Amino acid sequence: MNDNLAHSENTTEHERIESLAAAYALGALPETEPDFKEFEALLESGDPFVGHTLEGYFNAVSLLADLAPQNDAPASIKAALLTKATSPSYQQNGFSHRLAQSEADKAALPLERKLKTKNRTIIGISFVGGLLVCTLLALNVSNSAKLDRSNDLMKALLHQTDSLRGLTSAVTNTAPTSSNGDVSGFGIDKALVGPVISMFQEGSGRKINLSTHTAPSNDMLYFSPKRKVVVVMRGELAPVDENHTYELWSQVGSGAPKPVGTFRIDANSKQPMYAMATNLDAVDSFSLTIEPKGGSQTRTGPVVRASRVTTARHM
Amino acid sequence: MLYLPPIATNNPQFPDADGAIRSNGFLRNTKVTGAENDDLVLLTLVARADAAALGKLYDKYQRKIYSLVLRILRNEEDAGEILQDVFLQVWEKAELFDRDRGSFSTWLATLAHNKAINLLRSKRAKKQSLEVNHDRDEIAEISSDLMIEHRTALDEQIETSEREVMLSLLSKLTEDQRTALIMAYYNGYSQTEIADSLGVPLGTVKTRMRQGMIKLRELVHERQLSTF
Repeated sequence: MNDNLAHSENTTEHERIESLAAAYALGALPETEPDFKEFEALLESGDPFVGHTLEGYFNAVSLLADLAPQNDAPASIKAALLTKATSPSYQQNGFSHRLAQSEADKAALPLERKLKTKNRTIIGISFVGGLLVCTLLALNVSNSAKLDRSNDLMKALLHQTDSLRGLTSAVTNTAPTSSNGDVSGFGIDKALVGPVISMFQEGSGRKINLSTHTAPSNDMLYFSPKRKVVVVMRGELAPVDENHTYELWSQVGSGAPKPVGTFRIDANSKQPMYAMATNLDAVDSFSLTIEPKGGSQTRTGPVVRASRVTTARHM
Repeated sequence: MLYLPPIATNNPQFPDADGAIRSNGFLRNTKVTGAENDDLVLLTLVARADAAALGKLYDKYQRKIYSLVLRILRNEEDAGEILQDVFLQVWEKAELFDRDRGSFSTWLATLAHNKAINLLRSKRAKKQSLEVNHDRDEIAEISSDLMIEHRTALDEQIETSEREVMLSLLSKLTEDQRTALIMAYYNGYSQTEIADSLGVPLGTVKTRMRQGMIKLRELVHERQLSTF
């Protein structure tokens, strides 16, 4: 009896999810609809049934596109597209690629270049010892939302030096807490402290602003192929429930994403940085998904953040 | 939150012979069809700022995408802008494409559909007059418009054939289910608007959409299996 009841409730819940997913896939669930928030919450929950159902519906719905009477687009659109995609103004608005970024760096305003140089100098002089530098970056990122990319280190230094000193011991005293690579508390896995410090000390790493599907976020990623370490600096990443974890992936082109590491953010977490060890011999982009607890070998959850390496800047 | 779709259209039980490719030293584990393979190679190049690769993807899919958004918006200028916007997003965010979860074609179509529907709704809102038509003749017109045969040149035969297949699949849905799906997908009506338009309870529309989508998913799946 209880089994039947449970089955019935489960079926009803599944039907509810199917109904929401059908409307969403068809585009019939805009934000103004009463059910929108409920489905958005379901999506963010990482429930596999939700994802599976939605994927199946998207697949079916996309074929409805073939029903439209066929027409070729005017030839002028292609020319306009390629012109716009490769124009400097478009790239400088945040859509730059590797070569364009290189050119943009060369063309950077003298003041910006000066600030970059000043950043490195200040870091070198002011932070004797890598742990302090590491802590600086941690705090820097926790406040990076409001900081200009090119000035963030310097501003963090000017405004937060006192706070940094107070947090140094927190970093140095933190131990790893799980065997699957997760980190918790304020600090990072002890084994990674050295590489992380080296990355920040040397300025050998690169930093990327992670984007959502629709816009840049305040979440940052620092990585160093040389030091074989990646650090995610939390800006806006939301907590996940106890059955899920964030998982970072590296990808070459559109090839299969490779798992880098996992980390959890719970409702009480104030940890601003999450470090993961990884080999990065080749990487074109990073993505962040929500996966079942313990992580996955292939991506199963929704991509919540991503960025291509071509948009990275040197630290 | 925009959930970008990507769905697995390639069935791992029926791999394509030349499915596995190497990309920059990384062996891809998932088998893909030849056409998808081509897309992935081009996407890899796009991710590396290869404008020529973007041009090739555009050539391959402009017809499908432009036709879709033109049918939704019924305005060539708007359709052209959406088309360009979609491919700029491909250029900008190629790395967000998750091939494990679906084909590039699906990703592209969903992206275009989202943009077109958003524009359609925005224009309706500006007009301050939501054009939810209460006349069933309008719904019939929508269906018949989609069902019109558009046989053109020989080089369009394949596309026409695809269309015929989809039309035949759609005909297996009930009229109520078909109407709900078409009003949502091609006319950008929300489920509440559809309910108002048809004069039926919201729950009825939800049921029709759910059952219609389940049926369509099954039919599409059967069709995919039959093509192997």
